Amino acid sequence: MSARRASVPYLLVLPATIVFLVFFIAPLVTLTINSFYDYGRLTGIVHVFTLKNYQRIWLDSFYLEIVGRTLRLASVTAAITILVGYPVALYLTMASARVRGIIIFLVLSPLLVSVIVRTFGWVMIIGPNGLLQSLLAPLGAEGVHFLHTEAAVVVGLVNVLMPFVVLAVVTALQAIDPAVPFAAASLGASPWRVFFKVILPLSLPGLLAGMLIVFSLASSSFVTPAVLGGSQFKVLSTIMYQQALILQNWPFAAAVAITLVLIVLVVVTLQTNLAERGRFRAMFQ
Amino acid sequence: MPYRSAKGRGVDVTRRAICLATPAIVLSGIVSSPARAQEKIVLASYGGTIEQFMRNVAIPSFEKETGIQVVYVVGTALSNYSKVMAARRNPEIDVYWANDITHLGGKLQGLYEKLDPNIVTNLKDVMEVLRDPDGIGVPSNISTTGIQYNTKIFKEKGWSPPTSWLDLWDPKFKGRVALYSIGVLYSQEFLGSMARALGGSEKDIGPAIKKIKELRDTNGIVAFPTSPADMDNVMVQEQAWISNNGSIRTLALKDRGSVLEYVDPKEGAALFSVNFEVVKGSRNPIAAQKFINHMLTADMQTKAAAGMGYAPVNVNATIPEKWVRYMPTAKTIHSYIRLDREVMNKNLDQWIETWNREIEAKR
Amino acid sequence: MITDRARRLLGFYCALACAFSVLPVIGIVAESFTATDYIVFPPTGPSLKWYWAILDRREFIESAGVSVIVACGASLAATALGTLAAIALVRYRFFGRRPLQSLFLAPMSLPGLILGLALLQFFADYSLPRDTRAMMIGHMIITMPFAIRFVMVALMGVNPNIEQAARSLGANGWTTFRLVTLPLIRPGIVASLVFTFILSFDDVAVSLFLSSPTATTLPVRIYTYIDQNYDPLVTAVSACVVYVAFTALLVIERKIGVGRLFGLSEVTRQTK
Repeated sequence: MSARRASVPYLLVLPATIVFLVFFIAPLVTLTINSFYDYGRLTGIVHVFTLKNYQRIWLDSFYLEIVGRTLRLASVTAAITILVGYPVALYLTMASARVRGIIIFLVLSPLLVSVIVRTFGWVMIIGPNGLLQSLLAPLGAEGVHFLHTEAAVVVGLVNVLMPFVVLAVVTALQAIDPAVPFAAASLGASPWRVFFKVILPLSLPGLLAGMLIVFSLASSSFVTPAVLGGSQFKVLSTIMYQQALILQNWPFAAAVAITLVLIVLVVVTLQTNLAERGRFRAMFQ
Repeated sequence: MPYRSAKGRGVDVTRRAICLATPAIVLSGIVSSPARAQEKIVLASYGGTIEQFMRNVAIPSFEKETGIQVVYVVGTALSNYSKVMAARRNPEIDVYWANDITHLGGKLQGLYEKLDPNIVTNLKDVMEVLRDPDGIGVPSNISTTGIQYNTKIFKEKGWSPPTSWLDLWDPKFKGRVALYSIGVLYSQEFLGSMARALGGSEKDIGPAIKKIKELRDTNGIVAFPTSPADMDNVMVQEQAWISNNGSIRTLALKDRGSVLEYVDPKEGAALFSVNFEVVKGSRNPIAAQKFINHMLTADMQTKAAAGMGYAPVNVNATIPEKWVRYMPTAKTIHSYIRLDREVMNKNLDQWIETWNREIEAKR
Repeated sequence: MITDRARRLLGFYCALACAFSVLPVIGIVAESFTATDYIVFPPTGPSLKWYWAILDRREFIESAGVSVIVACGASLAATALGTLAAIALVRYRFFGRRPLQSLFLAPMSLPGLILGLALLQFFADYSLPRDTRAMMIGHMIITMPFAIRFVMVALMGVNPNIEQAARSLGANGWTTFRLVTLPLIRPGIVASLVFTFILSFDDVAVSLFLSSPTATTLPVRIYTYIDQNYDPLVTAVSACVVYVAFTALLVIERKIGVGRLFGLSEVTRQTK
């Protein structure tokens, strides 16, 4: 009886485990292995171990620039999204229940709409004959080509990723015992000081979590940079797509993919370590 | 939570699952039943005006004649090529219609079938010089790459029409030049043509790259369109006044009253063909070849010339009077430049890489 | 504690942020009713002509069908397998529980693009076709972490004593699950079904790589279309995607609330 009971959990997880091993772990292993193969237009994939693909990414100035651009885009997006989203989260903690519900709805519901639709919405807003042009026309600033610039990509990404920041920060703000800022205020601190010296530091874990989520989502985002940035705006995800689906160089695409994953992993680990060792480490314990 | 009948709830969840599953099953029936009911082929080719012609003229007449349904998949030559490559062991596409570089590339990789002259009876009417020596695939239409410019602007400024590739470097076009991105065939033809125009050949594009970089630095390239539709927009909206383009693009727009004009550069216009291939392993090779034969009939070739601006390869087809000067024929074909496809196919990846790095990378 | 003026300013900013958040979606829906032949803002009309135009384009209808079928399949599979796994992870202590939990939640940390590429190469290497089944598998992987999480949270909210009571009254494991546990975790299962459905329906990253000429999902179809064209037809199609999302939203709001879906428990008012 007890042996049968003991096997129940294993039977329960078995289907999911098999599916994951076959269709999650195995493909990723294959991808990693493929990234060390060579490819030629006339030869196809050559199954010989080589570091060529990674060397190309890290030693070639063209691709290094793309890595830099990806990092820059992700960092700038993360910073701006925090600035845009934090006050929203803050206001959520002080609004009435009805207003709160409205804000949550308006901020979170776009998450259920496909990113391609939201990005295309931005194309319509900042593209030819769009909202932006019709607003600027009376000012005489026609012919402003905002579409296909890095700024347009940032705006699109901030719009798509803002809900994640709001979610992370609200969770952290809710965890703050209201007695603490109240005590600070009653000790004579002005509202600004209460915010900067008490609330902000206490919400740091949520802020950091939000930043990391936005950073990793922005660095691997494909649709927004591809559509809003145009074909000349090259980041790692668009290179990966081009190499895999247009140039058929699967090994190189695999190497770009692995590089992307590693970059995000490194940044996330660095940030978390810094947080746990930095000035505010008490917040993260 | 208020107490409710536990039994009712349990059944509810199962019922919910069935409710979700049923529409899925019904839908899958609807979506896949046309395929079971009639023969069908998948055709992968270009979008834009070519797609429109195919959907409105070529495909309906074929479907009416044979009852075989044609599914049209849109993409660039390269993106469709990689769809064919990716699904090599489980071909999804039956007919691949792209250019002569992908023809050679795929032929070397063994991606295409040999055509059966008993099904593709019109093979014998195709210009001999264009046919594939091993009978793999068949060219169906030809066109050229040259200079496209805006006649209205030229007239306003009192300029005479361009005559040479080097006219693009004229400072009067500062900020008004557009060049296709390297992924498009027209750009590859341009690069090869420039290499030859500078006294070299397509084997070494170094001097051409250097010269085009000069163009980017002095006149500036206002856009690098990645598709013909994109270039159409750039030229029609007058973002650019002069560009490299295929003659068929101009002809397609001319029909709509556009002020854009095409001219062969004096160094020689590069000629290319679009080729039909039957993908190896296709599940409908006979239907696929019937379709190709349909596109090669003198009647369809004449319609294509008038409707798409593609010159015919069938010697019995007729070219519309108004467009005679744009379309190569069996007699004039030798006066055009034909770039070495073997070299281009072999070096395509380097060409793309070099172009991206030297010319398109933002400085 | 905070001045009235500061609070009003913050509220005003929040209103702007909310407008910013929904702007693209509203724009799409508004534009889909335009009577013009090209995209222009502000739209004229209103007219339903672009919605009718969708019916002429077989490929969009087919893609919508593919998206729905794949989403249904992925959602059911992810929820079914996820529920089983969640029960094991919450109710049992067994060797390998922690690592397995990390494994099941891992796809959330992996960009979908990477998994899509990995699956593409994997399927090609083993001569497996790229069809709706392949896409269902891909979508199932990326949605399973959410399914597991929803059911785990629901399970943790059920007092195990209730199940114990049922057992001691003579019910066996399966009956207990079916008649006692399942009804109590129903909100979690519903949340899982709806959320995984919409996640799969909306997916672009994995679908980009697994879409084939014969099985393309709607978001991928929209993307490839706007690569070559720019007309209100795709606006109408996109608006339809918004309507599907909105329907899902209504279902979620009625069952468990949008905030709860994303992990926000009752937001308590903290500052006056």
